[in-house]
Amino acid sequence: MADWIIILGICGIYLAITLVMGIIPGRKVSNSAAGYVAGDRSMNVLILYFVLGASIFSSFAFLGGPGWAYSRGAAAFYIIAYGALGMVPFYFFGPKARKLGAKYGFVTQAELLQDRYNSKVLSALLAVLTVVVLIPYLTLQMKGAGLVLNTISEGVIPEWLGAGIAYGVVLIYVFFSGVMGVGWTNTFQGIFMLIIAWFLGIYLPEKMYGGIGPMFEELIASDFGDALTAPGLTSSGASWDWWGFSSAVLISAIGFSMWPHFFMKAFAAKSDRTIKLTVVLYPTFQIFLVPILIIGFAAVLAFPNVTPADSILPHVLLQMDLPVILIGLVCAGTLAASMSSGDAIVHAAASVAVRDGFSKSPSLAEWMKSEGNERKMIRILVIVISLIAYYFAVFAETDIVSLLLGAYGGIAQIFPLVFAMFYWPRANGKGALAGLIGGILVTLFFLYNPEFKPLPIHEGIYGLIVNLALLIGISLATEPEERERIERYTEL
Amino acid sequence: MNDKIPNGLVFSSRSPKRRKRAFILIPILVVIQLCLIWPIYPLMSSAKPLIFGIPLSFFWVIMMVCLSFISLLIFFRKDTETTEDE
Repeated sequence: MADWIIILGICGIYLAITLVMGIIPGRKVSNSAAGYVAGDRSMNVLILYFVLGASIFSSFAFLGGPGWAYSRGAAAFYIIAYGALGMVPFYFFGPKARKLGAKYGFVTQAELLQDRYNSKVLSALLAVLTVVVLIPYLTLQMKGAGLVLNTISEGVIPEWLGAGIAYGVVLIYVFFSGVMGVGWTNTFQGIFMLIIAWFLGIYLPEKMYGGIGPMFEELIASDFGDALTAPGLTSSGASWDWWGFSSAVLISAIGFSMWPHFFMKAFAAKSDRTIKLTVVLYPTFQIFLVPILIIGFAAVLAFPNVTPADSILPHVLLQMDLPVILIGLVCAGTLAASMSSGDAIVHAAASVAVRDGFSKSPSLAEWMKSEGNERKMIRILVIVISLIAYYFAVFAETDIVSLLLGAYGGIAQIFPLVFAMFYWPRANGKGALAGLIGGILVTLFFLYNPEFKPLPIHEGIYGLIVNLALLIGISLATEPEERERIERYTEL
Repeated sequence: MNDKIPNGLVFSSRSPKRRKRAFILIPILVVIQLCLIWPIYPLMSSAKPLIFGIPLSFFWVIMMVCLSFISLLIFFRKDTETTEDE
């Protein structure tokens, strides 16, 4: 039997387990929107930990992480540096959001902001921003899954089919089980990819260099030695400067907890303690990036000049004489990384599109009031959004990576609004709207016209400066929201 | 109406002790974050020496993740001790 059939067999078993684990929990939740979107607010620490952890570690971590270490050296430490504290704001915002959600029935981030700032326009704007940002994110996950199955089957499975199979499974369990399907599969996928990553990160240096220490000694003595000095290299191979590194870390740390598919899990948590403990434990998940980067470093001397750098992990697997079962497990682990992010993203995008977008239309809102119709609508959107992302993944030739890199700058613009929602009573709808729009426009302007930047820092920082100025200035210049509304948020 | 709503930030918390602890935690976390970017990280940015076989620039980042974990853990334990949170 050809090796690749065994490898695909292992991936097939993995997909079957995921499917079963994804469908079962859906039978237990109610058929309301709160059941489908927020799991009846019942997630415990174990599930929340893996939902948040595994949905952040996407195929970017599994394929891009080693790719960065391989091609950019110490620049890859950026991925760890922003995650060290990126989740901390959620310790403070999360429990407040959860309490308000349980009291007033909110299940998305935009519903919370809409209520505090008394602005339907804000909600619609956030719905559009969410969908626009999450679709390319989902597309990238699909491409990753297609790439893995295509590479290991030695081209027998075309990328469109590979992506189609993996995301067919995701579509089925998200469709049936909503967020609880995401929860249970992410727990399985998370544990699976943690084990694979630690194993590879220790096994590869041991086999190739006789240990991690000897590996780094050889690396430092080689031409690559300079790249290990922070902040490493840019994607073009020049030295990265501290402006670029520091501002990228900051903007990513600020944006981290603001991703809609991340933030809205506050509404799914069972208690405040669940959220807090999840944030506290999160660095134990973060540390899993250490072996991931080591995989990339291990490949530097053994396999020079592999392009694109993101394909370094599959490349190493195919070139080295590894047991076939191991290769199968790693491929399944990579699928797990892709799918555990993809499921959370498609679920969030569909939920937000319905709750914050379509439900604002009076005629649809009327229809959705009757039992189960809202869930029906979200399910339709799950299919529609999957198909759109699939279309981009397979047919369109758009440059998606650059879209996604710009996204962090855009997502970070939500931070001032969320902060002010809880801590600045004087903030009002006009200020929030002006800040968000201004921040996004400035970020986009500098993203596409980097030559106008006064300093070589991340465009999102300029966006944030304008955002804050507008939020503060316009809020102070106009009337505050009514007292009763504000106190719901500031006195928690 | 207008003059009743304060212009500044309001950090209301049912427990003043918790507020005090949060005001200790936040500066610690800010310092940790600064250790991971300019101006502190450049002091530790060299690849050599190797610490436990790992370059200093890498080891330093891992250390900071551990430090943020420990400081949050201590804060969390105090936090859930005093406020009866489910």
